[in-house]
Amino acid sequence: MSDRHAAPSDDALEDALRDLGRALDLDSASAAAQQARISAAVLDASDRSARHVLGPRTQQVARALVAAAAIVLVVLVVVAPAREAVASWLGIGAVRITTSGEPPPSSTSTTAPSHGQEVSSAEVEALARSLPFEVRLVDPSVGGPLRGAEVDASVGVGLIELRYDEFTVVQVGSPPAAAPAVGKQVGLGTSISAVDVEGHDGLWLDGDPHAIAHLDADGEVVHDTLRRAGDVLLWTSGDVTYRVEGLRSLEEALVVAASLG
Amino acid sequence: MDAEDSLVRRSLHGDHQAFTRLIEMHQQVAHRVATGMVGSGGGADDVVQDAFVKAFTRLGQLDPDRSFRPWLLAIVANEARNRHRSGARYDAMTLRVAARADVRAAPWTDPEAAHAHAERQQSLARAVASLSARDREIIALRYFAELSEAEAAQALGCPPGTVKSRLHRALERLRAVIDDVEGEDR
Repeated sequence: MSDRHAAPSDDALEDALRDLGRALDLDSASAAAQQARISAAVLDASDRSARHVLGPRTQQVARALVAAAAIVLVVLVVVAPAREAVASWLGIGAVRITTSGEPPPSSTSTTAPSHGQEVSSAEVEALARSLPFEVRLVDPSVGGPLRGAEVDASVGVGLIELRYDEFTVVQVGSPPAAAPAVGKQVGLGTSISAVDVEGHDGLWLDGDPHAIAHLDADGEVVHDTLRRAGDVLLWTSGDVTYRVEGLRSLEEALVVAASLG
Repeated sequence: MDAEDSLVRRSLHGDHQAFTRLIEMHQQVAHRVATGMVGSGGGADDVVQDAFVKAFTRLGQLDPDRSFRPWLLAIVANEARNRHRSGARYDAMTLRVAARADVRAAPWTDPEAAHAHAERQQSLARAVASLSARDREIIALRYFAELSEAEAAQALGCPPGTVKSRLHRALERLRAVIDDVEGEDR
C-alpha cells in the first residue's frame, strides 16, 4: 500500500484537518478584497443607523476604515450598487484611490519641478487649446505668479498641471463615462476626510505622503509617472477633477480652490 | 489589558478603526469556518461579510468576560446554518483547496511529495464535504478555526462535554468515509 493510502492515526487526522483549515486561507489579494467588502458593508450599516450621508459620523467612520484597512477600493465599484456611493466618494472624478498596508513607493520627489519662469495666462490658453475643458487659473493675489504649466493629453481626456511657488494645481477632464485617469495609493498613515469645496464633494488627504501615478486606458499604473505626493485636496466640478497639492493645511487649500477663476 | 479586549471596548465606544483591526485579526479564521460549512464559492464570502456586520451591530451583546473570537465564530456558524437551511447548495471546497495546496507545497523540493500532499488534502476535503452540515460545523470550529474545546463550546452554546462527544462522532464518520474511499482505491 502506498503512503498516500495509509489510514491516518487519530493525531495525524487531527493535524491533517488543521492543515486543511490553513490551506483554506485567502491569499493576500483576496483577503484585501474581502476586507474591503466587509468594511464597506459595516460602513453601510453605520450609515443606515446614522440616517444621513456624508455627515460627521460617516466621515469619522470612513476615515477610520480607510486609514486602518488594507482596502482595494476599486473593488467596491463592482461589488454592489448599494456601495457605489462609498466607492465614488472615496475615489473621486478622474482619481482612483487605493489603500495599502504597505508604505507608498519612495523613489521620487514629493513636489513637481518648477520651470522657474513666470507663465502668462495667454500662454496657458494657447497650451490648453487641445483640452476639452476650460482651464481655471488661481487668483495671483492668492497663489502668486504661475511658474509652470504642462499639458498631457494622454492622461484620460486631458490633464493640465499648473505650478505655483507653494503648490501645484492639476485639472483633469473627467466626464462621467471616463475611466479613472489618476491613481493614488494611500498607506495606513494617511487619512482621508470628506470636505465641501465650494459646494462640491471633495476629499482631503493628509498625513503620510502617498503615491500617485497616471493610469492607462486599462487602469494600469504608468510606472514612469509614479511619484510621492503630500497633502492634497481633491474635488470635482462639472466634468473636471481638481487637485491642489503641496499645502500643509486644508484651510489654505480651500482658499486656493475658492480663488480659481 | 489584552489587546483584543481593548479593541472590543474601543469598538463599543464607536472607534471604527478598532473594529477594522478586529476584522483584520479574525477575517481568515472566519473564512475557514464559513468555507468549511458552506464551501468555497461566493456563499462563504457572504457569510463572513454578514457575520461581521452583525457582530458590529451587536457588539454590545458580547459578554465582557468572554472572548471575541468564539463569539464571532458563533455568528459565522449561525449565518452558515441559515444559508444551509435556505437551500443553498454546498459549494466545492475541494477546488480552492487544490489550488492553495499547490501554492503551499511550492517550497518542497520533491515534486512527487508535493503532489502526494496536495492529493491527500483534496481527498480529505472531499471527505469532509461529504459529512452532514452538523459534523462539518464542529470540525470547522475545532480544527479549521483551531478553537479549544471550551471556545468551541462557547461558540456553539453547549457544554464542553457535548463538543467532545459531537467531535468524536464526527471524526468517526469522517474516518469511515476515508476508509471507504481507500477501500475503493485498493
